[in-house]
Amino acid sequence: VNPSIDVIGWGVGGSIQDAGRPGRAAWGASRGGAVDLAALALANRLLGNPDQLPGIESSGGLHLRVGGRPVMVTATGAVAQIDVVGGPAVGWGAPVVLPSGAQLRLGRLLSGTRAYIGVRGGMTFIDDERIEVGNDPGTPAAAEAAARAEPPARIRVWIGPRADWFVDDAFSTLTTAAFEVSPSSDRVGMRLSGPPLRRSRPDELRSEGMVEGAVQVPPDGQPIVMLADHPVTGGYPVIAVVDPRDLGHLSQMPAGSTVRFAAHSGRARFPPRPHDRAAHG
Amino acid sequence: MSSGPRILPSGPTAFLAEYDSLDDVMHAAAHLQAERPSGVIDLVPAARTILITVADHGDLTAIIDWVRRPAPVHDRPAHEGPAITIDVVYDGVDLQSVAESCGMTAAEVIASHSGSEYTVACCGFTPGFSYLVGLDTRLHLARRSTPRTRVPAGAVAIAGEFSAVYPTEGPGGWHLLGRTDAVMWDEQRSAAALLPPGARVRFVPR
Repeated sequence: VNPSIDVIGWGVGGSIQDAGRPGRAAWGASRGGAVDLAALALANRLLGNPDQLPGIESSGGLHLRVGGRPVMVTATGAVAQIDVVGGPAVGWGAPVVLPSGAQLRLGRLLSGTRAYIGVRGGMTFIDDERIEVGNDPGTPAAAEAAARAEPPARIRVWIGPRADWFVDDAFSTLTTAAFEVSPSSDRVGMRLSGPPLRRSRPDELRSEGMVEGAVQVPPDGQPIVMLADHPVTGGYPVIAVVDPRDLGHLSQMPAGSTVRFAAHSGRARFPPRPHDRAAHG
Repeated sequence: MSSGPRILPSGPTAFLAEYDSLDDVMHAAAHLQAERPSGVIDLVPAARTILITVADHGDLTAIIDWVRRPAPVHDRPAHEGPAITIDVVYDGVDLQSVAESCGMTAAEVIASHSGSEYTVACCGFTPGFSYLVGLDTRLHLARRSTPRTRVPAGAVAIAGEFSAVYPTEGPGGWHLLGRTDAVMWDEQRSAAALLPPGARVRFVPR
């Protein structure tokens, strides 16, 4: 019998998330899974798990009790107030063994939008009150706590497929102005407010495929960055695409915080063709 | 002679290939799907474009060349996808109003809708929502001016040049002709979507 964890309360946005399932966009399904993939992968690496195993994504208020056997846990992603009763403290980025009966309360977030609680062996949802812990991965857990990566000062973006649907200075506005994270952001998308990104073409775009990280601009000119549960197609033009390496950092910026973007300066792998636009600006 | 689709980069590992018509998209998508190289994660047809996403280790240059290569004109793999039959009870709340708008009787609408063979052009909106082309031009109608807040799962509907089956309950602005028990989306199936792009579909009245 595998170890288990009782869920006393799921709190805000509490759910079990793995790395999602890429490759189903043609059927209308986006990746899903953890919004901050890098944070989930870090939790798994610290615990000796494969990167994609499921963990708990939480925006606060999570309350767990370890079942009949001890389990190794760790916390990554947003820094949260974590209190443990009946076991050692659980700090950010350090694998810790919690004994049977220990209770972990993840209270409010001190930074970021989503914390991740990983468990050695991963986990399976049994019902609203119970999680089953997976088999021991057999590889050792990290001996030391991880260092927190500083979020970049600017989030790198690539010029998007429909940048030519906007006025000439719209992309430079995106990469120079400050944008504020809107409270209506969710797992589907991060809504930003700032100087409007104006379109040069009034006509309607036919719906087309969008990648995670796509910066879509509805008629009000306020950009929306597509996250893990985004619709696979959209009818608003995509002006830019957030570099996948910075998307996790961006997703951790809470409502009200200021985002600044920078045009990606690396060379695209796209070969130039006379009738194509340059791959980046 | 066309130089192939226009390539529109969409971040470091994806691009849109843009075509002149939905027909061209469907033809290219079927062809590309049939000889899809490793390293392609997603191949997402839409109205005028195909989005192609490439794994980090994939050879983007080679994949762009592959997409640019014109599909042979003689084969029409778009019409050789799996054939699927959907049983429909034609008792939709909009059946009568569709008949009136099209100058037909309800029986004629049913005969027309169930008399065509459809091909899945693309999916979107929600998981398992497939846009079927092949609708009788007499049934081409704009969406309802006011969308419904709740359309039941399994609703068989039409809008514009498309027909579709709602996979789950949710809001929707299409005209509802009937309903089916067929499960459009099932996470437990190896192919979760019942009607993937390229599939051929017939509706059979029950």
